[in-house]
Amino acid sequence: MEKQTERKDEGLTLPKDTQINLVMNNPDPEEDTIDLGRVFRRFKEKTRIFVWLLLGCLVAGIGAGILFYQINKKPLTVSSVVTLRYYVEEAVNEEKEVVERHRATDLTAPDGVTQLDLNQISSSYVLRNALSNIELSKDISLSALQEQITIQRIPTEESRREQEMINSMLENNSTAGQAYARAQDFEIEYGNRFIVSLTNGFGDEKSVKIYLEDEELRALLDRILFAYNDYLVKNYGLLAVPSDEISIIDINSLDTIESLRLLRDAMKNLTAFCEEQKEEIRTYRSWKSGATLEELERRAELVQDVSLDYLYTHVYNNGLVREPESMLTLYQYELRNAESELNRVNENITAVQQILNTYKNDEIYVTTQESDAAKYTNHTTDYYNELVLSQTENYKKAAELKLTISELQGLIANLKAAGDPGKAEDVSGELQKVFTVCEGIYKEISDHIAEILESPFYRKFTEASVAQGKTESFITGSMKNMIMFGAVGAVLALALWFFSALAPEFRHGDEEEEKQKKPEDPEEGKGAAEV
Amino acid sequence: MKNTGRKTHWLRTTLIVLILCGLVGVVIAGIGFTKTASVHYASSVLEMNFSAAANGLAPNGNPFDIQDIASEEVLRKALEASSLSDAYTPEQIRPSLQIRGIYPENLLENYTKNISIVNNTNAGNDVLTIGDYHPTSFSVTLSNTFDTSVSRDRLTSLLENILAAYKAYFAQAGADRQETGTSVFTITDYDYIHQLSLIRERLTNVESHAKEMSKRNPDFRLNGKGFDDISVRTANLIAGDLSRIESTVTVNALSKDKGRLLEQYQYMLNRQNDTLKSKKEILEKMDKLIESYGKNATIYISTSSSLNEIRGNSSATYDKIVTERKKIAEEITGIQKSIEGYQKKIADITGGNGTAEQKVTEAAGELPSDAAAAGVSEGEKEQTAAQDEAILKKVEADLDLLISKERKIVEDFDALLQAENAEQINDLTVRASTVQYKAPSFFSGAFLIRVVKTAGPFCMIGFVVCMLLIFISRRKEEKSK
Repeated sequence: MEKQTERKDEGLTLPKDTQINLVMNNPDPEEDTIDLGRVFRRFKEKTRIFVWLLLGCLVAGIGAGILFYQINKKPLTVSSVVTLRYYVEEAVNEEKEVVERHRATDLTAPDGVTQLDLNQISSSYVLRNALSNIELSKDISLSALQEQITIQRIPTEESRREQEMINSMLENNSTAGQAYARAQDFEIEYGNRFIVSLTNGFGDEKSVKIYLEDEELRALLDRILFAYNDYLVKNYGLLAVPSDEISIIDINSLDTIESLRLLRDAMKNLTAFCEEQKEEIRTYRSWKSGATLEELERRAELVQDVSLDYLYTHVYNNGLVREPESMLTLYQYELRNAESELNRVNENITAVQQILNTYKNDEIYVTTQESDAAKYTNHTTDYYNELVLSQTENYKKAAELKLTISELQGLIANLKAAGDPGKAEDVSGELQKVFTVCEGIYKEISDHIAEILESPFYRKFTEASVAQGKTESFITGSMKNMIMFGAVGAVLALALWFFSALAPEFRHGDEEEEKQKKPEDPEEGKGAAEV
Repeated sequence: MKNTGRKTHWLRTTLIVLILCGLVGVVIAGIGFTKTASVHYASSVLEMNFSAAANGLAPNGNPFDIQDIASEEVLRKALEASSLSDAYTPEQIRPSLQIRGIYPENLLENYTKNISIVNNTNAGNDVLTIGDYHPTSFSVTLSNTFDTSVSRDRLTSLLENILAAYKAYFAQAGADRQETGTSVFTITDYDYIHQLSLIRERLTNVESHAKEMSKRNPDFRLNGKGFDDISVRTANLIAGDLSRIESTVTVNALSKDKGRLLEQYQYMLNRQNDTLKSKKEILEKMDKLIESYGKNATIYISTSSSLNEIRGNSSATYDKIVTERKKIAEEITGIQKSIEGYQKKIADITGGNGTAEQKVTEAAGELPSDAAAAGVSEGEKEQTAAQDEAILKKVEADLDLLISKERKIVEDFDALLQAENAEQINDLTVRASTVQYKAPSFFSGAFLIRVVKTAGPFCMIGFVVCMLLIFISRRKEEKSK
């Protein structure tokens, strides 16, 4: 046994200078841990790379931010607040007899009856006019423009409060029922202001959108609102230069009395025109002539008195006409017509009176549950009321005709008594002067009205604040994105730096494992054994 | 040594790539810029330096519209001043001219914010004021879109002339002007009484205008006198001198042609009588109509919860007839007054004798009538004629004096208005800043922005590619080690 043990011992004995390679199956537990010192060393070693990486990531991040902003940029919307500046008439009493003029306080149209159609702002007529007054760098179709316009009406203070009240009542279960009943009767009232907005990016989704410069967009909205104002003036502006009834009178070919009668009619119409104008038009003082329409009207009346009537009465009383017989025939004919017209009106008066005398209006009987007795009242029909009013018109017409007849009768009598027709030539010079004076007055009035029509006082139906809204500058707009993406880039760079320093630790562990695995390889194990 | 050389190589390559990318970007931006941005501008800021501007009013109280800069008159004058009338028309220039009010930047923002706040049932008491805001500064820009070949100097000088023409226009349109009176009257052509009517009309106009001015500018004085003094002087002239001459002329029946004057009064009297007659007829018929028109009874039914009213619709029509009746009655009063006036005038001319018709005939023929003059001696006749002559001369002298006084008032009023205009409208009232020329040059900010926008992404992509390549090569290097 002892010999056997010795043999065994002899067999294990290695020759001198032979190396012994030990392969550990269980590595040192320290090899599983990360050496922070080494990691920090690596951090330090890779600082330069990190700086480059950080720079690259920051630039990439900022660039990505800019690109993101460019791609997702919202188109600019410019807006303008429009205020209605025109006057409307409002009935003060129920019968609409007394009307008051005041500036529009809601969206009532200048006619005082209908509601203003704000959709007209985006109508083809308004937009076409707007586009014809501006040079744009790109062509925009009307339909594309129409789609980009939005109009926001502004409720009145009372409406808003009512709305708030209904909302708060709805929130409370106990008052919800009342709120619903109230909401049914509630109609939102809007003030005399509204906001018009225009958004950039014209064209439908299928086509490539057209973008205007900010300045162009604002200018375009301004022009649209100007065009809308012009539309209102054109549609609702009732003022017009009075028709020229004077210059068409040919005093050389017409007889004296004819010219004077026509001139009198023309001047009468001219003063009536001035009289029927609204207060603000009548009191507007012209910056060109310094006069008001009221003053011009007074002057026209004065002209009629001191010039026209002065000559007319002279010609009328003395029958100063060039062709008495012809004039006599003419005025006899006119008299006959006036008389037959008067007969017709008188017949109308009689007929209407007969109807009124026999007409039966509606009768209303009212009974109540509490009382058996019925109450009774009449109800005049609209037809009856119309008849009554037409009768008053007939009376006025008859009175006017009587005056005309009396005037013609006097004229005919004077013409019959007239002597030498040659005397008519004596007044021709004066007639020319009167004609010139009347013409001058007409010109003054028509120039005055033309000035009013051109003045902002008249043509400003609406007043719009300038279109506001602008794109943020390139840097300001994309700043948020740049910071966000830059920060992401910086974090990424940090992460890469960290992993680049940490990764070798794991790689080191892998290498050790590989080394441990190597002896198991039969070829390599053999070699090692040989060594 | 080898490692340092490689790094330098990387840096150099990156730099070259970046420069190349930048160059490509600049070239693309340059092409795009020259192709699209060919619009040049001349611009200026116009300031309205007077108190009424904040209310959108000119110094004369009329509203002004800044868009008048693009008016036919202003543009025509500007083109003439620039000697471009033959080259362009106002219609061609107008679309290239932009006039915009300068508002506080956040005005609309605040406004819309207020609306949204009140809509969200929060602060309902916000006062919305934007509609009352009138800008007092305006930017005026003229672009070369009407002719892209127009030179810088021409564009600038055209805008300068437009602004100058507008300032001149505003100096007129914003100023107060005295009513010049019509040039169609030659006052001496008319009879004395008519002359007085014409003078009265002119003086009344001056008085009302002076009152209007005094109300608007009560403190304005020139040599111690204000607009109120003018209106007082005018009122005194009407009540004093004018009325005195008028009474002399009327009472003494002074006329250049008594017959014609009488004819006119007689005609007017007859006409008024006819009108009175017909109006009275209408009144009578209207009264009958009103009487026959039965107003309906109104019934009120009271229940525990409400009070209901049942009525016919007769009130409106009834009220209309009554209003019409009232109008006719008022007209009748006016006509009666007018008849009375004409009767008095006729009586003054004829001395109050005979019927109206007789008086007309007498006046048209020989005045005084032979019958009336039969009992008057030659001496008395001469004396009366001399007296008449003396009165006539005095009236004519008084008329001349009246006209000269009227002229003096008109002159003083004119001087006052001019002084007021000079105070309110001067070089500082409408001030335009120096015209700036803006052209899209390669040194302009617009081009730089474009370059940044175009070349930036190129450079960024190039840089990212470079970085990736460096990483890949580093990785390969490490692997090969």
